[in-house]
Amino acid sequence: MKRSSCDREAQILEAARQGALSDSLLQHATTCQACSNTLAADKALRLEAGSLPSLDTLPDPTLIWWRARQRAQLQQVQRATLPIQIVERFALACGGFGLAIGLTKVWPTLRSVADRWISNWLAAVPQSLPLEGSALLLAFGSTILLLLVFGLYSQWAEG
Amino acid sequence: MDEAAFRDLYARTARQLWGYLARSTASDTLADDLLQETYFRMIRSGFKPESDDHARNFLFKVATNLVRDHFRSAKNATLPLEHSPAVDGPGRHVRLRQDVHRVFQQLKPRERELLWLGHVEQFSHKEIAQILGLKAGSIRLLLFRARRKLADMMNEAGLGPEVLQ
Repeated sequence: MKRSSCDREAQILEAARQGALSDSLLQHATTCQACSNTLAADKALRLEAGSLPSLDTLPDPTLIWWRARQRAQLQQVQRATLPIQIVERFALACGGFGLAIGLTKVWPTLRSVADRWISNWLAAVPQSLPLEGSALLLAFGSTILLLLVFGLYSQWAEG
Repeated sequence: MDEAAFRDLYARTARQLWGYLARSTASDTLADDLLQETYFRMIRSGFKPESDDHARNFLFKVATNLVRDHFRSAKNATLPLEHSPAVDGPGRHVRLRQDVHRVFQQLKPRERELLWLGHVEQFSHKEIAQILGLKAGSIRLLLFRARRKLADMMNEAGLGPEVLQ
């Protein structure tokens, strides 16, 4: 028996599928390993394919259609709102940057006002607080800055 | 494509496609998921089938890519072995089918895909090449090797041609 490919494989396969294997083809298959393998594999695969489920047991096409539409709509919305989201983030970044610049500009004035306000306030309360005016201002500024960073991060995470 | 046309196409193609996916992935659950994803992608792409063959080629190609993508990620690299054919019909036939199934599952995924597309779906070599992303000229040899391997494994498992009669 030869083990290489055979020119009659296609012919023998076609005949087997039509249930019309002639004696000569059958005789050939007994002497040709390639054709014998073809017949054996075809029979095995048809047996294997015989266990396909009925259409009722497969996922519901109505549901697939509906979900596909839902998904398509969601993607359309995401595509449509993408420029808005980009502009929103850009505006937020500009706002943050502007605020930082503004704060550095007005910082000396702000500090002197705050110092005055804090020293007035400290004069009014008992002298038991452990922090001085500048330290309190620093703590206050840091808190505001942290809140600002957290707010920006929240915006970014939601977007 | 409207919903009615989709349902028609689904009725004509889903069983075969599911069979291919179940044999390629060796998992009924995964076959269900990938079947849905295949049709999702078809709908989303706005594909308009010119004929049933055109639709079949498209669907099997998408399904093949989905199977590849699924197993490409490291966490899904190992094949589940939960799939077994439905147990119905006369006893001997059922046992034989299960034995054949076990042997079939021992083939490599690429060999299973090739044999399924060539023998069960009866795609031409050119179509198989398009679906699997291979050169058309290599299909004949790959099919020959896969058939020889399956036949050898069947013989080893005591499932020679005389048993399958």
